Amino acid sequence: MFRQLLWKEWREQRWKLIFGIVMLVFFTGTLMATQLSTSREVLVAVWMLGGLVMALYSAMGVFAPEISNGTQIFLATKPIQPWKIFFGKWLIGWLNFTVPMLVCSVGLAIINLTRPEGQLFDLQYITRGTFAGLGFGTMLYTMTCCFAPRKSGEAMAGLTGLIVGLVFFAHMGIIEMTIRPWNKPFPVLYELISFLNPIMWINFIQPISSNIHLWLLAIEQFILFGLTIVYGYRKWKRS
Amino acid sequence: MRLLWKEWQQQKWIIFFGLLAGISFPVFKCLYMWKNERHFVTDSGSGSLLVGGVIFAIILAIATMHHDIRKGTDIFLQSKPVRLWKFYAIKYLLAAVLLYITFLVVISLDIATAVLRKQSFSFTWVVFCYTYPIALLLFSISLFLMAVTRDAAKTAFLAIWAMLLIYFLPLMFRGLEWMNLFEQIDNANQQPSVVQYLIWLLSLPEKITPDMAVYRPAGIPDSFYGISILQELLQIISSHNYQRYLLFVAAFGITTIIFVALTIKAMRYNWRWHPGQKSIVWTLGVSAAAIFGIAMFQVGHNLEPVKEINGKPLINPATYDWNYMPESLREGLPEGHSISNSSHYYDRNTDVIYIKDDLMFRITFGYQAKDGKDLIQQNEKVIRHFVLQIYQFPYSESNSASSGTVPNFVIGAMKISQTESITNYKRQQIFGCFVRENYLYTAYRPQLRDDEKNRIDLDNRPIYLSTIDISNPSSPQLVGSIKIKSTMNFCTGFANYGDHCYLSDGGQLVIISVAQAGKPEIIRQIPYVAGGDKCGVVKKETLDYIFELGDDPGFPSHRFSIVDNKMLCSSYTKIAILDLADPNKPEVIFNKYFDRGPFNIRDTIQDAALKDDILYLSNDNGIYVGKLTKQENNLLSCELIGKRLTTPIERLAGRRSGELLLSGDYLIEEAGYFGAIVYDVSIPSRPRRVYHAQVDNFASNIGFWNGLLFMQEYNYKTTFYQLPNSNNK
Repeated sequence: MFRQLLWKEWREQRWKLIFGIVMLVFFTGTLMATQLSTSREVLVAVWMLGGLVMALYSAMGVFAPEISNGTQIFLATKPIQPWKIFFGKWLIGWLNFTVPMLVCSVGLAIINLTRPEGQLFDLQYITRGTFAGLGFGTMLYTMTCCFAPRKSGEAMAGLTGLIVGLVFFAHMGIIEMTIRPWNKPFPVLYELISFLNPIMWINFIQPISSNIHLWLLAIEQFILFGLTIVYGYRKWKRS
Repeated sequence: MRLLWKEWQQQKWIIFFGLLAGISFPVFKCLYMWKNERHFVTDSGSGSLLVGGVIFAIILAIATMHHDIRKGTDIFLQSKPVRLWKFYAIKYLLAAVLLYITFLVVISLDIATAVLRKQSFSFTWVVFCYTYPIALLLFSISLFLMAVTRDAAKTAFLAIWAMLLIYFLPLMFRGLEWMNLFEQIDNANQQPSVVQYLIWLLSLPEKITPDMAVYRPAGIPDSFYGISILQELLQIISSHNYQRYLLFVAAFGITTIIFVALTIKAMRYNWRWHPGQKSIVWTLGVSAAAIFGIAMFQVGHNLEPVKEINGKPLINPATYDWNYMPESLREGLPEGHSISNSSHYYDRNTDVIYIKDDLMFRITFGYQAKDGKDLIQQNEKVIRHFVLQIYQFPYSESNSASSGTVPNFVIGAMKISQTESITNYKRQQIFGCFVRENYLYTAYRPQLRDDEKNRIDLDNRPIYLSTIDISNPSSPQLVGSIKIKSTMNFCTGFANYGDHCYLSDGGQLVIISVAQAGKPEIIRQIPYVAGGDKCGVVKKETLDYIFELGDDPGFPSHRFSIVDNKMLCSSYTKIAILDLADPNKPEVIFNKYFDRGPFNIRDTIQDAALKDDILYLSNDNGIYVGKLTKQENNLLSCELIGKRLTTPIERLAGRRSGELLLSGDYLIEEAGYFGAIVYDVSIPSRPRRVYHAQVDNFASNIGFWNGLLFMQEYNYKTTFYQLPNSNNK
């Protein structure tokens, strides 16, 4: 039954995946062709587009349409555990933005390797950047899906995502203004507080300092992700 | 009143959260600046408004309509003894008032910062004045879309698509410039504003000292005290830019009302439209991609620096700055003193270069200071030195610096002249230089001592023409200087033609012969009646030669250039051509204004170029092409045959018109922050942009050296390019 559920989700969402690939490849290709900015800046733009915009758009169309179309009751009557329904929908929505980002990054890596004039950037840079973009996008996507009000439509889900993004920036601002001086005397404490913010995935591309503990970032984000998923699943089950 | 209360209940929380979100950025910035620099300073409000203002209006419209379109509620509303149009008119009007107040609150801290720091808040005000009508329009469009689609998500997508079109279509179509928000922001300081004028008035500028007054807004003439407030207001309102803004407000206002009316009709007659989400998203995506692609290809560059020439590798880009200056520049200076450069980029008013073979000769000026002294302040007194610097072409083999350091292409340098101790901000003038046989000739005018009233001493500013022996470039020697009495004007026209040199300060034309090597001689000084661009009729000479300006007063003297046996003279509004068949008796064959008549070029002319009978003019609007035709009286007439106007995107990307060069079928333009643009003028009436060289900051000079096009930018970084199939100068 789980496979049929995945197939259903795939049928509903595949056009978004194609759309994402076409848009992201187009924007990447145009920026690279016009040489408007450095190749590294192009990559950052791709990851930002992929991570931010497409994750948000994908999140809007995962759970909310079932509420808008009134099909959540229909789904609930199927002989399949609720966590499988939840996970299946989450997975397909997640693929909607991760696949385009991966396609773009792989394409850039191939272009980079096959350039006769020499490489534009490190392959390591592409890998780290893709990883960071996927991490940030996954967190934004998951939080949008899980924190959107119960029984909310797509618009409300989108608004939730915007608010989540705003909270990220506000959190960064507060950290910058208040506890940044703690970085030197209490680096671990500073990292514990600041690494709650998914924007910190950017440290995988360019660490803000040489002593940063990336493993702590990964663990914190993973815990945050787990808590968000659990909260979202329980909300989904109640609805 | 009940309707008002109902709408207020529906909108108040969205407004509150929107206000909170919008004001949070400037507040954070203020707190951050206070923490670090003990100043409450912010400029984030305008950014918040620009990015989020219109989106907030869309969200507001969706939120307020969401309740009214629910099944049952829409019928219920229409059953009430209130006209339907009142529902939506009040909804719209309340939203308009609340949005106005919200936007003003969001930018309030920015304005407060500007007023307190005596700075202009033009940028913030322009952002508000243009964002508010756009926000109202998108609000009304969203209302209409909610009424017909009854779906918040689809409404959001479609409204965002409309927003995209409003913001970016003016970048594609020149005719929509009047609604191009980005261009208005870019030129914010030149936008006249009634509100800014009134605020400036309230600050009582005539009663308090200038350094305490609020920043003088654009459009206020220096003769403020000579005209009344009403006259000044009329002048502001009748200005071209303000009229354009009124057109913008009228167009958006009318469209807004139309959409509100359509919303009412849609609710009354149950109009429905159910586009699929896929169709909407693909339409949005493809439009965005098309706009993005067109924009990117307009600003993308395709001219790459060359790596080698004639098999010899180049160091490209090269730097021709003040590093590696020889000890000759210290000769005669007090112990521990040296001469430092005044600016970090080529400025055509104060730097001139001449290229000969592999050598570049630059005349510029610096200031004398102790070694290691921090930057001289503008109001400090310093001794200025006019200097000659000689560099060579940047072949790798010519670099005498060790690897890992800035390359060294300096051949020689010397001091030519110095001023007395004058205030640092006093600008010096250099007319030009050229090389003839083994001598370099250069004209400059030291500026400017002050008279007893601390004003520019206009009577005592002679022009000097110095002769320098460059037979040994590593050790140039000053041969001598001749002094030319100048007029009270500030132009720097200079050109050399064979054994002759022509220079003008805007009040006279001086012809100098260098037929005797190393011994320049003034042949003729032709005074104008009045200086600058508006000089009067030339006095007729009693000799057999008359420099005839006819009925057209004034002679353009900002730039001279030689084309075959003619001299092209240009100013901001006028072009003249002299026939140099007899170099001692130049004949005026063309002398016309271009800010009127068929050309009617509104913006000032930055440069002109001439090839055969085709005249090219550049200004910030683009390139204009005229054809010169000989008349019966041997004078020329000019008719406009083509133009290539700047696209809005190019303008936004920083194109500012500068120098023009011709090379074969290419017209090369120095384009400011946009770098350099190469046009194909094989069909003169249809100049076509074919190449674009980008720049990191701004292009300050272009030229040709050893067949390569070079572009100089900040810190004298010089990049060389090869133009395909060109016969370079």
